[in-house]
Amino acid sequence: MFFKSKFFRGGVHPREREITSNKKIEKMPEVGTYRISTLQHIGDPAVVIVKVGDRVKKYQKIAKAEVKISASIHSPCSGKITQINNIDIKGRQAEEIVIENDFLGEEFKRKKLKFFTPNKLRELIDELGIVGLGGATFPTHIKLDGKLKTIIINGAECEPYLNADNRIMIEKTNEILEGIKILMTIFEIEESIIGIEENKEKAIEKIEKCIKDYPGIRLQKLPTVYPQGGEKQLIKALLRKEIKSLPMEIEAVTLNVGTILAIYRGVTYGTPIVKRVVTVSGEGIKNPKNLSIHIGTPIEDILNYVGLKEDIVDKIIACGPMMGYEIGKIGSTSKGMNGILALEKEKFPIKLPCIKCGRCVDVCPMGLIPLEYDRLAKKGKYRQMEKEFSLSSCIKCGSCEYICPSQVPLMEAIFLGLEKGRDGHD
Amino acid sequence: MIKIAPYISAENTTQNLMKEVGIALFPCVVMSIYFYGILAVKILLSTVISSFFTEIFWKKIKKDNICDGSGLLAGLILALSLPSTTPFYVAGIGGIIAISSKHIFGGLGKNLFNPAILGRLFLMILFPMYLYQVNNFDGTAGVSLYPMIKYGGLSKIISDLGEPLFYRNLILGNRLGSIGESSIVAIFLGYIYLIYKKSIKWEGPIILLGTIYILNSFTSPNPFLDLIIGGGVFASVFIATEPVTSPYTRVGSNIYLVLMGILIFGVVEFTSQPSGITFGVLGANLMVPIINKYTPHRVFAKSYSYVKLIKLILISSLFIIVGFYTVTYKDESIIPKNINYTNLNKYFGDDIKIEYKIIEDGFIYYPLKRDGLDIGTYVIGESKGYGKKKIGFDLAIDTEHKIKGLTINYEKETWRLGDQISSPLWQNKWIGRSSSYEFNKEIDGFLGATYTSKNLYKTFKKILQIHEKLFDETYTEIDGYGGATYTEELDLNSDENLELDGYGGATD
Repeated sequence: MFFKSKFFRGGVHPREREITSNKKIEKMPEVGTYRISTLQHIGDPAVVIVKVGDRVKKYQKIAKAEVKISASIHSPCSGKITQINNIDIKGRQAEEIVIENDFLGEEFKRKKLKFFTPNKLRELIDELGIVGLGGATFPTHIKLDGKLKTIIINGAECEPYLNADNRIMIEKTNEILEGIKILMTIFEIEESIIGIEENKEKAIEKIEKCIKDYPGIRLQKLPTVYPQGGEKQLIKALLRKEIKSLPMEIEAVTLNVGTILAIYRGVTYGTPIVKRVVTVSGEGIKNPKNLSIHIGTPIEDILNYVGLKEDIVDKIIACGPMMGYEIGKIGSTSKGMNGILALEKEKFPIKLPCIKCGRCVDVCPMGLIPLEYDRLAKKGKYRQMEKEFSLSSCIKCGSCEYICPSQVPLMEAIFLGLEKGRDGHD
Repeated sequence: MIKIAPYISAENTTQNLMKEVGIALFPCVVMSIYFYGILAVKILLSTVISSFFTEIFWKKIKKDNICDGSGLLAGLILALSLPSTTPFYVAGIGGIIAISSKHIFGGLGKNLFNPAILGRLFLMILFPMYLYQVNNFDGTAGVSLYPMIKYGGLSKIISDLGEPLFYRNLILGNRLGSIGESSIVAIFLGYIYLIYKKSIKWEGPIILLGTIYILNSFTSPNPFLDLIIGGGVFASVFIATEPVTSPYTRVGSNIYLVLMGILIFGVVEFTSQPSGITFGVLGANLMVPIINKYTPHRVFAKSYSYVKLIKLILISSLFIIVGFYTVTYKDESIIPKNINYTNLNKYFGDDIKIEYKIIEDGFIYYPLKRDGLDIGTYVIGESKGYGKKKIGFDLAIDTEHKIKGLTINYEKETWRLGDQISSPLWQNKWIGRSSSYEFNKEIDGFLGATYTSKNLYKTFKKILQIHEKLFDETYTEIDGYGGATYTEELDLNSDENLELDGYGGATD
């Protein structure tokens, strides 16, 4: 009770809401229209290389990465491009390509490579538009740069509700292990560790059974604590090392199980990311499911497919409840969207002033003092937030606001501080 | 406005936290009513009701309609920390002050000092006659057992009650003290409940009590008893763990508790305040902003700043040292080294010759002569009163080691309690008493201020004993031979030092 073993400080344990943990990944049928945004990743939007009226094939590249931190976008179906609109994603300008599906399923054939060098693999990953599928959507080819010693496979999936990675690990175990093996051979890496939270018993069982054939791959059980799946926390838990910003510092790379699967498919079949597993769950969904969805599928179609309890749904959010964002019914799936949740109205406690109980300080996995951010944000002293309380270390996991008994809007203060601090406000 | 993540929240709320502490206080409330009956009910009701209405009043002014239970809770804690002799209107005023103090600082979460303790401090200043009341050893009222044991002696109390009964009463709560903080069992139940609910950190009370215990063990023969007789146990569970006025980091809150322990011990040990809790808690509260500033957690991938911690320790030790220096500082300049000739003449008449003085144990002895004959001694001294204030007096002792006259020159005792020593009626009672006189609380004490008079009695007794030692042989020989001629001879030696003076008589 008092001395719970943990691999990193802080963290919370939200009530488990794994409604879909035992539901098999189901393929969602193709829909008539796909709306694909050009900003599905960290960095700059991809540049559209098709015109309205063009015919595209499945897997064909429709937008390409022009700068280093960016990723290509591919068509999920064969069909005709009907519109290219300007849209706004999280306050940033991007474009949206609307493709009318002709249900012919013509595939764009890619030349398959027989031999790989690290550089060639990186080029392939860049070409296929593979980004981190855990949610951060960092372009993978940049991660694989430089000398590498360890691969860390992130199967922690610490957010409540989400089960996409869990199901991938159970159903595609061999493909994942094969994918790791490919990476290990190409980059001449000796060690790779799969980190899985203890509450995913089936996945652990399955991987333990298959892992014997793959020397050099190791499974590590992790305690069920949020944010166990955060990159910094995962590396701390598995390697006992603290990184300042990127795992490159310690010659390691962290890859989500979904990303590994995408790499495996890209290398063996030459297919880009046009699909991903999404957990569609929450109290407001009639049939919660783990769906394999084409990227670009409008949210409304997905919700119609699984059925929405209109009367109790309060909000529809993308990704997990701790770090996700509200999307509503408009918009479409993107590469980083590992969950679509319809949540009923949570009985949020009344907002009260901060009582300085220090719970946020206790749970902060980065050792920060979130309650001071709220105080400083109210005063407008944004620069002090970085100077005195190292705001830039924040990983925005939301643990502080989750645990706060007074419901102080800490995340709001943090985002405000990051934004205003960058702009050079005082 | 769109709410940003997280979209789920933990079940605990601030109101729940307040409710939990309220539930944890329930055993204390029950025990206080069981032991003190209608007195406790009156205090509890008046404090809680007054704090409730004060809270509503302030909320109306600030146009804030959210009800958090903090006001009621502060009132309840204040009520439980008052002695049973407190009249209900005094308790009510305490409630008003406590809640107002919180709102003057800016409301919930912004107050620097614990509202309940601040309310208690105000009551201690405004109504000392109720809050400082220490009746008698077998009495049923009083602020704390501590002064009883400190000045009355533990063995006396234990022998009055019998040892097993004494300890049983201590643990159950049938003893002197504030209504809520006397029952260790009830407080322990509350503590268990609070750690079960994770409202407080389990180590908090242990750190505070441990610090006091360790410090006590240096000075007291029975440190455990000293620990449980005061309000320390109650304060450690319900007051020291109050979130608003304690630091938010783990290291910080441990330092805060240690600091509070040192302050409580220091106030009880070095001053004559019976209740160290009030001053200890407020002093530690004062340090909280500094503690918060200097005890941040180690930020991920950054090194821990020990410099800050060292700075904090230096600052707090400075704070403690300065605090105790002021508390224990003896202002030498106010001690009258001069003889009050009005008093002197009143005791012994005119034509007195003072040839030398003897300073012994802080008292100044002036042997007096008239026409070459010893007529007695004039003593100037000081005694400790209640609080850190001194009582200055002069005393006339005759040749038979009996008090010939007494005047209290200055005192700053509590109004209507200790200050009765200034009355000539009380002073004249002492005339004719010798060092073998036993203190009788019914004649010499006042209701509620036995402490002052008892302390003076001890001082007088000491003066008389020293007097006997100093002038014993001289005077007996005077009595033995009774020769006036003899004293003339002795007079010659009196210019020499004390020891010669003593032996001079014996050799003859």
